Amino acid sequence: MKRGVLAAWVVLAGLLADSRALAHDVTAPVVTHHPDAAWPGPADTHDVVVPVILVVSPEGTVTSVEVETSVSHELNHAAVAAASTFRFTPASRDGKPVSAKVREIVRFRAPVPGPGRVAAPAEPHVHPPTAPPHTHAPPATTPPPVEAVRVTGRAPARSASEIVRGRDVLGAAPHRTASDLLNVVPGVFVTQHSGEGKAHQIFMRGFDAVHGQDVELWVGGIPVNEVSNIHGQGYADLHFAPPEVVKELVAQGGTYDPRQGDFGVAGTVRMKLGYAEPGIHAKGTLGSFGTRRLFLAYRPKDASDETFASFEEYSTDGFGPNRSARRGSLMAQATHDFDSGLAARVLLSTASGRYDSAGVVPQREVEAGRLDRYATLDPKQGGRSSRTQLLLELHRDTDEGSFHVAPFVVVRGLALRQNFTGFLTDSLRGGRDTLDSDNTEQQQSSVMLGGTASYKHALRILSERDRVEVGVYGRHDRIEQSQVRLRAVDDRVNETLVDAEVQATNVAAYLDDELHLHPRLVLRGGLRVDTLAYATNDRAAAPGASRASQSANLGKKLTADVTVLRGLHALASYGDGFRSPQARSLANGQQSAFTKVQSFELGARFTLGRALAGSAALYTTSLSDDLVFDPVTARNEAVPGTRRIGGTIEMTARAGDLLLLSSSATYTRAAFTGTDASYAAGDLLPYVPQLVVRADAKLEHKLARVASRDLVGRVGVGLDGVLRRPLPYGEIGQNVVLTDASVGLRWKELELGVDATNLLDQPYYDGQFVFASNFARSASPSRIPVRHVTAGPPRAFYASLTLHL
Amino acid sequence: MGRLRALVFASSLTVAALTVTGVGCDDPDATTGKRVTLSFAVLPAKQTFTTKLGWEVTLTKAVVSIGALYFFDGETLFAGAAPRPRRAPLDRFWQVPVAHAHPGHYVPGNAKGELLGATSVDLLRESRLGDGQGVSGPFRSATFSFGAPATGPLAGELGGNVIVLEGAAKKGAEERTFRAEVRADELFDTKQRPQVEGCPFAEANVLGDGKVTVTIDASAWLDQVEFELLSKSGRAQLADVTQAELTRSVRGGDRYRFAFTAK
Repeated sequence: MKRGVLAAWVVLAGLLADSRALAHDVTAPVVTHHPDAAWPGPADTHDVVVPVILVVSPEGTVTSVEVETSVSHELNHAAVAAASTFRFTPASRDGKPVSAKVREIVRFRAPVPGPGRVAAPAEPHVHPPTAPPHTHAPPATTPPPVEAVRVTGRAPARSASEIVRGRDVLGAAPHRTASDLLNVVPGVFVTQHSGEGKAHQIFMRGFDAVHGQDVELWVGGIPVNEVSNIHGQGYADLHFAPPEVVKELVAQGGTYDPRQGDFGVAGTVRMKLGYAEPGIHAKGTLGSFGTRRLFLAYRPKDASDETFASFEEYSTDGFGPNRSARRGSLMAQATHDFDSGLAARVLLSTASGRYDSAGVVPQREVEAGRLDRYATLDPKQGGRSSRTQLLLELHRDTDEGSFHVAPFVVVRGLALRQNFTGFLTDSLRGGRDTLDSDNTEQQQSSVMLGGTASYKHALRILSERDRVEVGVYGRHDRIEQSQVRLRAVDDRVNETLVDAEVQATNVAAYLDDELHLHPRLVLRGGLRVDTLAYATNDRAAAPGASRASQSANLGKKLTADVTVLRGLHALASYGDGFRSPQARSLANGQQSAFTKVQSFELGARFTLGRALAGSAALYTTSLSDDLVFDPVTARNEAVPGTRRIGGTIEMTARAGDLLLLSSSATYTRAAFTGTDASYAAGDLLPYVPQLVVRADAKLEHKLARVASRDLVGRVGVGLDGVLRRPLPYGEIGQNVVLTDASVGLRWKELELGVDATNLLDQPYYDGQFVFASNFARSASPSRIPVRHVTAGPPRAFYASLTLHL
Repeated sequence: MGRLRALVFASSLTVAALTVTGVGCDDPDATTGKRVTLSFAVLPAKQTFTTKLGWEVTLTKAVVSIGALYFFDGETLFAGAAPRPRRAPLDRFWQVPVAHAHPGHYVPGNAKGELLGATSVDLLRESRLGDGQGVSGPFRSATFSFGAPATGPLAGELGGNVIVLEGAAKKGAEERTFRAEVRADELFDTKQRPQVEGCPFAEANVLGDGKVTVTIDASAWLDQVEFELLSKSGRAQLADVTQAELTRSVRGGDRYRFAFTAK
């Protein structure tokens, strides 16, 4: 602490000295030792530079390093480590050595420099290149030509628990879908309870986000959550993205970033797209249960990893009756840097899938041995899904700042057929001799047009590094949706439950400021205003039953970031958020239908170079009202307000390029704060797991050199644990602990891999619900809610052969 | 290698410690509600009574086929007329709400308990029906079903009926012996079910296991039966007119009353 205060005084003294330079004979520090930095991971194909601000002591050593523009968590720390070794001829005043502050760059040099182009990937919400160097004393040596380099990075963390997971962690254990990648986020557990094609169910930090209602998801700069989806608010289907093209995952727990919008309740996860290796790649996979997959990818050798194209064809017979699935996807993305400083990115993808679903089975029937755990009670369940999307992003850096604009369009199609309750509906209504199935089909087709834009520039209020950003976001969704009950025999419509057209518009603007109150204290925060408008033509309710509503929400965000020690930051965060309502639930003219969200977090982030980094945080999130699975309607219904209180800890450790360990544990207690007919204040929320643990490990090593080529072996393991999951009526659900593993051998162009999921063959339920059903067609069925489950997949193996050309 | 071991150890230990801590922190709280076991008994009906038409009736046989019983938190139409139980201070604290139906309509609300299966009982003596299941919370109304076809120990006496009553009725000098039989199809509701919805359950906030007693008011069934229309000789079957009065009364929800007693 004393050292920090001393350094601050030295800096202050330096500034004062600078202001009086005219009256003194002042010389700047001159760099004498300026080594390149060591790459924290595999070297990129181009140089990357990280701007830093150094305090040089009268002895010529570096006493303080601050990253001026964040590039990535790993590169930042490696840059700090490298800059600490720089040596200078100290600055002098009137011939006497003095401490001085100087701006420098740390260069990560590519093994084979690219031809005239050096760029790091861009992201819509990233820090732009820095303003022109402002030095108190210009360095005597001429640094590499900064103007030739486009440096982009990600925004600094808004909370202690914010994490970034790169390819090394994402690729440690097997992940079969992009949704599956979410498991590496602390506090997240993902299941797929209704077939390989329906959006996954996501649990995050004490929230049962179902298919996305509480987790804001972005992929490649395009929002994924669907407004007023017929199956569930915020439905987010990630099957269009092969896991191989996700290069990075940024997860923000809570609601602390002004860029977070609708559905950012438990948090926001953004997936950045890119393909790791240049060249042509063909991967063929054969696996258990008739699984076949072909994955092709191409990345130009002279392009950044964000320029790629991929193709996926996947099919499986499934691990039990009525579980087959097939999907195909195409994704292409290209980036280009124009000489004018303008950078462009185009993303196009299209995907479709069809699947069968086994649906739920009553747990007591399974436990009593009267029903196989993988059985299906209605083989007509399943669905289809399609998504086509296009994004064009323009990004430009200027001396004053940077701007980006990214319009996008998404065309979606969705059909789901499911039967959760058997023949209950008719038996309750008195169908007695004419009981018909509760098999329900939901259909939705939608077009979303939208875009993001932002402008960021320096706003020197208290410091040279103060910045302000304004941004806008907008989307308009035009949705056609229906829900019908179908006759069991001939699939004719038995009852029309929903037939509606919805138009939903969300426009938002935010102001985000970064103020450096003190060299050790940074405040980041701002305001966000969202306006949401809905127009619903509810054709099933009554002829001409059109309704319109519009309301606005103001969110306040603030983060205080204190540098405690080098590599150790303490962060306190506050944020307001919201969740929009289902459009069909709104009355004409209804306002203030948002679910209001308030989050607090207090914690610390630490790093010890590349070897060890992590964070620990305590958090709370309160909701004005919530949504919980209702046993009567068998869907999520409005319930009183809730609060989550929890803590999370995560850590990533690396031993060079040999070993990687990434682990996390998150405990959350979710309870009601209000009372209604079904729930009482203080009682736990059902369905949300209290403890979620995750561990990823990867060991990679060169085994031998064969025919002048390295033979590299790797082993990866992923461990998931979901413990203490409260269910209705004071019950606790089944704990789930799963182990996935992967082994591989790479011999230059050839790679052989074997993945195993659920390696220990744990019998488990990936879906647990409590409601009444009548699959036995009883005229007097039980109406007391009981536990229904979907069986998780048993152990499965997948062998892959990849050609890297 | 030592450094490597240290990293492995540090990372693993953190997660392991938190996992153990999380598992070990046994949260004393739980989700709302709990499952309860309900035992059922049918209380004996009055054997001798006077109907509203002034007939003194003595039952010699009263057999009923009982089907599934369901209990709900929705309030019945009879609730407003009946004296309301005093709500416990704890209930007010927890703000256990009352579900009110729209005027003129009964809305069952959430299912809170049930006894499935069917049996037949002698209404002139107390009968145990067995155990059913439920969930905690307010019980306010019930659905009474007649079991069709009749099963249980008295199925033979019921034959194709769900109710059989025998007895004598006396009004001044007039005396009649009678036998009343009611078939399931005579009791169908609009959905072709032999059941009566919206029966009053003496409001109870069920917090644990207990006993549900069923009181079937057989005297009310015969309230509007004009025995004078029956033949004086022998044991008469109810005539068409009197049979209609009987079945109308049998379909009345307040003929079946339920109460809960905690164990």
